[in-house]
Amino acid sequence: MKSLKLRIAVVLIALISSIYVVLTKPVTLGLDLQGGTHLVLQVDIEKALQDEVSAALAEIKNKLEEENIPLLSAKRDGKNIELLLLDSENVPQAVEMIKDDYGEMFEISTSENRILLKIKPSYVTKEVDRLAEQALETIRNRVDELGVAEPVIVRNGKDRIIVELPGIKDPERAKKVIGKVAKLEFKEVVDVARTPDELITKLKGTIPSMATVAVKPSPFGPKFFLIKGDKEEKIEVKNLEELVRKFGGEVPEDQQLLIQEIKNKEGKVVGYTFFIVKKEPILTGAYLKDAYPSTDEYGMPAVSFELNSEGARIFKAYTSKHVGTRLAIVLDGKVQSAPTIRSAIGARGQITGQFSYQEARDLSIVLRAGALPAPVKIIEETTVGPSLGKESIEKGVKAGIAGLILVMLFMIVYYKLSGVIADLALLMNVCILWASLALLGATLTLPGIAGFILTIGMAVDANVIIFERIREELRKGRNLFSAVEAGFSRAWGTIIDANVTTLIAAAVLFQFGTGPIKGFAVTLSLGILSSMFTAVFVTKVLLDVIVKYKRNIFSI
Amino acid sequence: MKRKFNFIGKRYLAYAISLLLIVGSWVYGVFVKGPQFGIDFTGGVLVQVKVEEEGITTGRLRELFKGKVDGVTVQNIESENEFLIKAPVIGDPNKVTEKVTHTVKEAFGSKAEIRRVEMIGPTVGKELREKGTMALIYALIGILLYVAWRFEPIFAFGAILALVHDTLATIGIFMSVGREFSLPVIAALLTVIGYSINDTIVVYDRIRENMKVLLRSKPFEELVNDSINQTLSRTLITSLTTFFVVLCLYLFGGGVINDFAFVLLVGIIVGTYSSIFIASAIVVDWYKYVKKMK
Repeated sequence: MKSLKLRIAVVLIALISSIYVVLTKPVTLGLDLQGGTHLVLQVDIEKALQDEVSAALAEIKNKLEEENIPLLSAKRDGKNIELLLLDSENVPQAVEMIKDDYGEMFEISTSENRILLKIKPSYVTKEVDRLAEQALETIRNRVDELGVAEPVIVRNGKDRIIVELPGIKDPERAKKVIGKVAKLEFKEVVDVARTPDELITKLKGTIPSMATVAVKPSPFGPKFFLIKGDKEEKIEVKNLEELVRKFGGEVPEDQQLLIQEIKNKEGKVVGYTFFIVKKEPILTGAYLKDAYPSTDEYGMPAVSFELNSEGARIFKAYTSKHVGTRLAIVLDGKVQSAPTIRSAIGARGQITGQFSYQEARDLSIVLRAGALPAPVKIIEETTVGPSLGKESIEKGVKAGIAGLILVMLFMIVYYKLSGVIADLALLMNVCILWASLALLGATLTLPGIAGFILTIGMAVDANVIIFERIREELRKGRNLFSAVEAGFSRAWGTIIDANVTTLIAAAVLFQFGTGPIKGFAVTLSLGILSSMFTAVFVTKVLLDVIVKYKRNIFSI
Repeated sequence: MKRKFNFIGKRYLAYAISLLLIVGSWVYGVFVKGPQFGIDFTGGVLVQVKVEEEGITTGRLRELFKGKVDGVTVQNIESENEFLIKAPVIGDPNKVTEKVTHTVKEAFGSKAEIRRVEMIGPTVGKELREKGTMALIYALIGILLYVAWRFEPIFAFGAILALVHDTLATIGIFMSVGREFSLPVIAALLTVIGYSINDTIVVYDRIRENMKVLLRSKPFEELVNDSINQTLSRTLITSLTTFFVVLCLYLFGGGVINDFAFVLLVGIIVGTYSSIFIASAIVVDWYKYVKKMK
């Protein structure tokens, strides 16, 4: 580009268009600046697979019963199933039957009357992908129902999901709605106990004489204490089964223990009811068609649901046979309510519990959006309040302006008129950098602001290299014109080498970094590129103009 | 030619100072202070809270968590009534988060503002730690390859040694003042690497240029020393302007970014020092060694 006029035009166009972009297109602010919640969820695939195997086992048992194939025992061991038939003659028929339904899922092997089902690795691989996709879909639906503007929900790696909720007011609630598995199950109630003592005795355990097991509620589950006279000793247990076993009790293999929370008017847990229920559910939330908030017969908040036709059929068949017994409605392993069946129930039902209106609303959201195919765990969270975000911006801007002024003053003092030119290039650099952030739709984060500020300090480097070179050439006695030319051409290689190495570091940062760090890498790289343009090209144009028209005012 | 300093002549003194600095700061940092890792790397919960109440102290907050959440540390930051509460993750990390915020809300109600919550599960912490270390190593390798390609292997060797020097010294000083490693700190270290190599490359460029014309007429040592002197004003000016902005970032940037700015601040000083006293000096010694071998 020899012609000076043409180059002036390029500079002006770059300047005007970047100013235009800066004025019209806003830069997206990261969660750390505008406030919001960033979550990384991990889908518990292992648990989901085990649940699937459990469901398969139940189905296989049913089928065998239908076909009148007597079964001695059926066990699940992790992700494998072992079936013992009464009669080894039935084995081929049973295998054939299982192959039809589960040939894709299991590797089947037999010996005498034993059938072993081993889950196939190819099935697991496919399933991991399906489960993660499905979890993503479910979470997307839930977030949509929460009404968050511009959420980001993406899969990250094999089994992780990133959720970003900008500007959210109540992160606790959002976390609950997103993370709730919403696994709804209907289970047959075997027995009920009001106190731990009663539960333990019912399961044939014995409590030391003159002692009693007391339960104290906390927001994080029940805590148990052994009370002997006025001595109180905490019993450390993971779950109810362990508590019962501690006192020599035993839970039958096909049964499990669940709690129901008793809440007071403020929604605080004040006690528990203990349930012994059948392990295999009668029905699960998979048969749910719809769910919506409603009120129960006392006008308290409840959640009404509707089953699909198959669910309705199973439900009707069961309830008509079990009038007078209790049915536990279990949500994520906790009994919500346990009504007595008065008559056969069809497609509609109601979950009462001691909900607040908000809880009933949130529960219908999660039920409607579908249960997560597997439990998800929040393994990373960053929530930034809006006030902190605003403060960060203010501080960042203050630091940036202070830095900018210092650098500009320094350049003028040290290089005089050439310093002014470098400053103009620097201002243009800031403008172009901001515009390219906006154009690329990059997200500005707090480290990104730091990167921006750092760029200001480093951007003049190219100018310094050039100016020092020009000074050197002038000292050698060259005339102004050729000194400027030599300065630029000699400095160019150095500037490239120096900046490429910094870009390498930035690229690594971008590759490994998460959210905010990535933002830092982006601003740093863009800053380097745009500073190469402004510090070399723009400065050259301005110097050429002076050298050509106003030689007498030149100073460096 | 302006005044000339004999940087290369003082190189053994510089080596000694650097060695002393690195070994000293690491021994002090690791054994006396003990390296501090933020929740990015250990997993844990961090809650930043502002409490609008007279006479609120870290002691009072600490008292609050006694018997409720284990291993809580409370630290006063920025203004008088703003605190960082940190807790290790034991069991379910979400419960720990909930417990901490719950306890604060219960005690202060609307007087407390939860400004920031960060939770990082222990497995994620381990992953991030590994990733961070790998990133540093990858960056060094990438730069090594580039310098070896653009210059000569001996330059690459000097450059990498200078970078390792800068990284070690900056980490050492960072540990010695008892600051805490976190992801932004790793990012800052990578930036320091990028910055320091930038400084070094400019000197190398000049050495290479001088080698083309002067290698026969001058001993290599003197040639390198001249090159350092010729680029000295540029090295100092750029360091100064960068130092200005980082200082502003350190002073005005706020608490969240303070560690980050601190690393840059130290890194720029160390990086400038190493590109003058270490990077080229190593090239000289390596060059001499290779010649002797021949």
